[in-house]
Amino acid sequence: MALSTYVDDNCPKSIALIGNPNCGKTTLFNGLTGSRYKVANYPGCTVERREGSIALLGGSCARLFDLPGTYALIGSTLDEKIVTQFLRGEIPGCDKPDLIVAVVDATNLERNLFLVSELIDAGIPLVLAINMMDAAQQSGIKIYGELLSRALDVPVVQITARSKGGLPSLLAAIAKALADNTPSSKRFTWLPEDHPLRGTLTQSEGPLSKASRDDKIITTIASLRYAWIRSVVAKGTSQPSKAQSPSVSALDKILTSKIWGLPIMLGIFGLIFQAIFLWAQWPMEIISGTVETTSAWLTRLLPPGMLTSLITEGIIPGVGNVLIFVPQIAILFFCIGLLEDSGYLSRAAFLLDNFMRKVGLQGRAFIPLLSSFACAVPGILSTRSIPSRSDRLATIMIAPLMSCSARLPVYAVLIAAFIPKTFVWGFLSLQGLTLLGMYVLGVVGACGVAWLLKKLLLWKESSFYVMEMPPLRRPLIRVITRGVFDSVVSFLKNATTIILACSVIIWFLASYPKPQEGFVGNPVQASYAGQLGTAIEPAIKPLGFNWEIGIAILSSFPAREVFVTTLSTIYNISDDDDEHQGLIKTLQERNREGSFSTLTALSLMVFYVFACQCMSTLAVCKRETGSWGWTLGMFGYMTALAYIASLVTYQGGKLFIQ
Amino acid sequence: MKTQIIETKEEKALSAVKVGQKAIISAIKSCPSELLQKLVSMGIVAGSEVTVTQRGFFGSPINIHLFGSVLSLRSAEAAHIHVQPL
Repeated sequence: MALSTYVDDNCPKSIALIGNPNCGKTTLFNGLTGSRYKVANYPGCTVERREGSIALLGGSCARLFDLPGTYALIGSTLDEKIVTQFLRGEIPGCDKPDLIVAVVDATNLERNLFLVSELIDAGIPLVLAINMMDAAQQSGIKIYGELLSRALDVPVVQITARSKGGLPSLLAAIAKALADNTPSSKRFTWLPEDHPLRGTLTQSEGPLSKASRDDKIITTIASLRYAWIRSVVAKGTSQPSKAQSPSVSALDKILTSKIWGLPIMLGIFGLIFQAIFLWAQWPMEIISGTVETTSAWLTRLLPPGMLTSLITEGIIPGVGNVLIFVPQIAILFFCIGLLEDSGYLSRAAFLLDNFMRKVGLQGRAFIPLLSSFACAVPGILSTRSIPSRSDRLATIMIAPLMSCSARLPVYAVLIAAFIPKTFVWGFLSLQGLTLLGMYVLGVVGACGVAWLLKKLLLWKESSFYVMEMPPLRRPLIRVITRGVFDSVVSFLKNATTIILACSVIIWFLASYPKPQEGFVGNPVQASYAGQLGTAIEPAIKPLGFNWEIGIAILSSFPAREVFVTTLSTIYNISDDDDEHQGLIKTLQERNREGSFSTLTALSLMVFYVFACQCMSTLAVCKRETGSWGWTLGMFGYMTALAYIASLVTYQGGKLFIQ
Repeated sequence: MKTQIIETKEEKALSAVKVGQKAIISAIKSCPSELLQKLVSMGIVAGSEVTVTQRGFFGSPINIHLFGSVLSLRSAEAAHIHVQPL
């Protein structure tokens, strides 16, 4: 098979995959590398990028780097700077690429070729992959590869990445270009021989130069480039003789309409939260049943002792209770993937820009914020596409307020235990609505914080929005499931490393020292964890939390989902009987006994909405802002907000009940 | 509502162009450098033909069709772009 691939870090050649956003670059990367790729962060390198390897004819191979989508090389966004640095070979751990595969959208050649002309000036050998040929043919655009190839002096391959069309010819062209190793002779062809700029531009590093340029030079260069591109496109393509006047599809009109746009958007997000609860129920029950049976079976099988206690009271409930949430996380990532791949997310940004501007953000911040519902780490990374620094900082600071998938286990367990399974108006599940409420609370808090930030700290800086609206299209399930798979794997990796370690530590702290003889009460209270929990109890009592919850909160500062682990370990150790039931049942029992009220559960959920309990978020914040001030500020304001909001919920709720 | 009939086809800001109207970009004026760089890399240069396809609440954002794709801008950003209606 021509497309068979394997991972090999020792491949001698490196290839950069570059193109505009929405040109199908990542789909092509997936198609070329198959499952042989990794998402990597090199030490000392701020770039997270996808790297894969491709097999070439003749047995050699090459490393393929999927770089961020960009419109130009010298721009203001971080993504653009990363691409430029990569091409200069300035990123530690990455050599200067031997070859560029430039991906362009066949239906939008003029604009896409702007970046290509800059890449040609960089003097690195280049293969041009013209993507979306199916769409181009549909709209009557003809592309003469041979003529275009001659005009640009680079190999040209026509492909349709979504259906994997043309990939073998692309691989052949890549192998040939690597062997030839000759850059295009059309460097700076767009610049007339006698132009005054010629000297300065060609002698420096060309488009990779760091020199800042004044506005007049920017427009002059752009006009000359586009003039050359127009002549190239005129030679190498034929556009439909009757240019259709651009129209907006009926579906697009409805989705972005002033009347229906917002209700439809709310409906879509409401549906997602319903789905997370209703569809995930069945697989979750299977997993939780398996965990319980395994634990009971091991208790019977193994001789009583320390090791058995570690396994049945520490590890299995600790890791098992987090594994239960894999179905919900998969559904969440699937839904976000669906919205992103279909192009709906940009419509949502369009609808929300006015509102986002009022709170000091911009419509484009919507996409990082939405990703933060899955996890704040990719969310914060994707703020790189926001060009203005102040918008970017504000977005980073509020991204962790979006309820991420690690909070989902906390909400899910508390909602399942305390919120009745009733339906509002016969079809809206009260549990789903409560979950939606937690998400909304985070969003409202985020708006307030963003507004304050812009008013108090970032008011001097300007902001702008301008973005591309990709066409609406049928989402590709293959691409989405791959994303879901990646996220589930990284969640499982987390569960088997950090959470496993935490569950062992917590089991130890909650089991030792053993209570002295004659001790009456819960054995956990005498342990190290119990002592710590009792020590902080006065501080958290006004929030409705007891010492057991105190331990769970403290232990979940490195990662939120540890909350579930801790609580189940504590309850399992304190139960005398060997029947280890699921955490939800234990909580319901405690609710009946009166030691864990529904109001406490609500207050606890509110605490988790706002609290910054995630090491990875703080680490990525430090890396992206480059400042300890912003990082500590994030931790400080979120913890304070969590305490206050939780206090208001509990004390307010008590008044309300009385 | 004031009705503006464009008979003179005078140059005006893109932010003032109605939905469905075609225009040729004539210049980008008094625009911050960062934004200018972004706009030109997305194809907004003198000579490009644009069509306004949609506008949001209160006229912003404003979506324009340019080459083969649709760009979305705030009306404040579109105000820097001067066009000649067709």
